[in-house]
Amino acid sequence: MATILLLYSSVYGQSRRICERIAARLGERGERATVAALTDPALDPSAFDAIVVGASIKHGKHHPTVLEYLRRHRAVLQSRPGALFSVNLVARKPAKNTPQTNPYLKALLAQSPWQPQLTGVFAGELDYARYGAVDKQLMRFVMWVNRGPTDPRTRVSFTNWDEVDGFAGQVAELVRGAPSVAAAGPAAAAAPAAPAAVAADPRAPAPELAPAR
Amino acid sequence: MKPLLERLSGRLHALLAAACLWLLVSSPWVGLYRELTAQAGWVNLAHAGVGLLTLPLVLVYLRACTQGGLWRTYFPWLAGQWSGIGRDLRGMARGERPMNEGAGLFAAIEGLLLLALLVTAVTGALWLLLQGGQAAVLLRAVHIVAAQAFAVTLGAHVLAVSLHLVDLVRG
Repeated sequence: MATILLLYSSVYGQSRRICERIAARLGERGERATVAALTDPALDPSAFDAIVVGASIKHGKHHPTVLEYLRRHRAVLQSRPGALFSVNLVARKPAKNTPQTNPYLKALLAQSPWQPQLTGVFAGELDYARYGAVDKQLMRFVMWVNRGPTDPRTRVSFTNWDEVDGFAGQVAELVRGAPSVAAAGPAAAAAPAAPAAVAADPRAPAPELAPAR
Repeated sequence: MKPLLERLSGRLHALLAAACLWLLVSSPWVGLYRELTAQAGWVNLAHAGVGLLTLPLVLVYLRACTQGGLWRTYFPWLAGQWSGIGRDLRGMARGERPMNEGAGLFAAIEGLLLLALLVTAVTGALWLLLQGGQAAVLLRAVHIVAAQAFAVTLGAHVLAVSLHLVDLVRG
C-alpha cells in the first residue's frame, strides 16, 4: 500500500473537494491517501510515496504559496511520483480544458521548478453568493463577456467528477510504477523517481488528463 | 481556516488603496515644511493623520506579502532570482504580455511599490516625530522622493493590473 499526499490550495473549497474525491477513489484501490492544506506546516512531504498538488485560481492566478511550496520542496517532489492539477472556471470551455490548452496551468508550469509526471485541469465552481461585492461584479462581467451565467443567484459546479475519478486512476497507476518510501528506505526515496509511464485509465476521458510536458 | 493575515490582506489592500489615493491626490495642496503648526489647514492635518494611519497598514500588509518565503515572489532580486523578470522583459520585446504567475515583472513591480510606500510612510512618521529641526527638513526631502517613486510604480502597477484584467476577461 502506497502513501499518497494530496495537497490543496483552495479559495472556496473546490480544490479541497476534488482532492477528497481523489483520496476516496485511491482508498477504494487500496492506497492510503492523506488530504491536507498546502500551507499545513505539520506535514512532512518526504514521508509519503507520492504527492499530488491541486491549486485553484483567484483573480486570474494561483496563490503565490503554490509556487513557493514547489520551490521549497522541489527536491522531495522530484524524488517521487507526483501530479499537479489546476482548478479554474476557464476549464469549463472545451477548448481550454486540457493541460496543453489551459492557460492557467501552462503559466503555472512555466514558472514551476517542478515538472510533475502527471498534470490535470478541472473546471471549478461558480457561486456568486460567496464572493465579495467587488469580486462578484468582476466575475459577472467576466462571465457576461464570455457568455457564462451572470445571475447573482447562480451556484453551479462545472467540475466533471468522472474526469476527477479518471485522474485518480492515473495517480494510482503512477504510484504503482514507483517503489514505496517505506519499502525502499530513505536512500532510495531521495533518488530521482523513474520516469513513470502513465497508463491510460479506460474510465477516464483522455482529453482532460495528459502527462506533463 | 485561513490564516488571519491572509484573510486580512484583501481588506488591507482596499484600505491602503483608498488611503494612498487620498494622500497622492491631495499632496499638491500640502504645504508642510519643518513642522505641523497650529495654523495648518485641514488638508495638512488630514495628510499627516491619514499618512500616520497608513504606516501600520503598510507594515501588516508587507508582513502578509512576505511570510512563509513569499518575499521571493515580490522581491526576487533580493534572492538573486532575475530569470522571471528577464523572461518577461524578453517577452515584452517580442510583443508578449508578462506572465501573471510567480516571481516575474508584475510581482516585482508590486514589491517595489510596497517598498516605496514603506519608505514614504516611515519618513512621514519620522517627520512628525522629529519635526521642528533640520532632520525634519531632510526627512521631508526623502519623503517627497519616495512618494514620487511610489507614484511612478503605482502607475506601472495599474498598467500591469489592467493587462492582467484583459487576460482575465478574455479567459
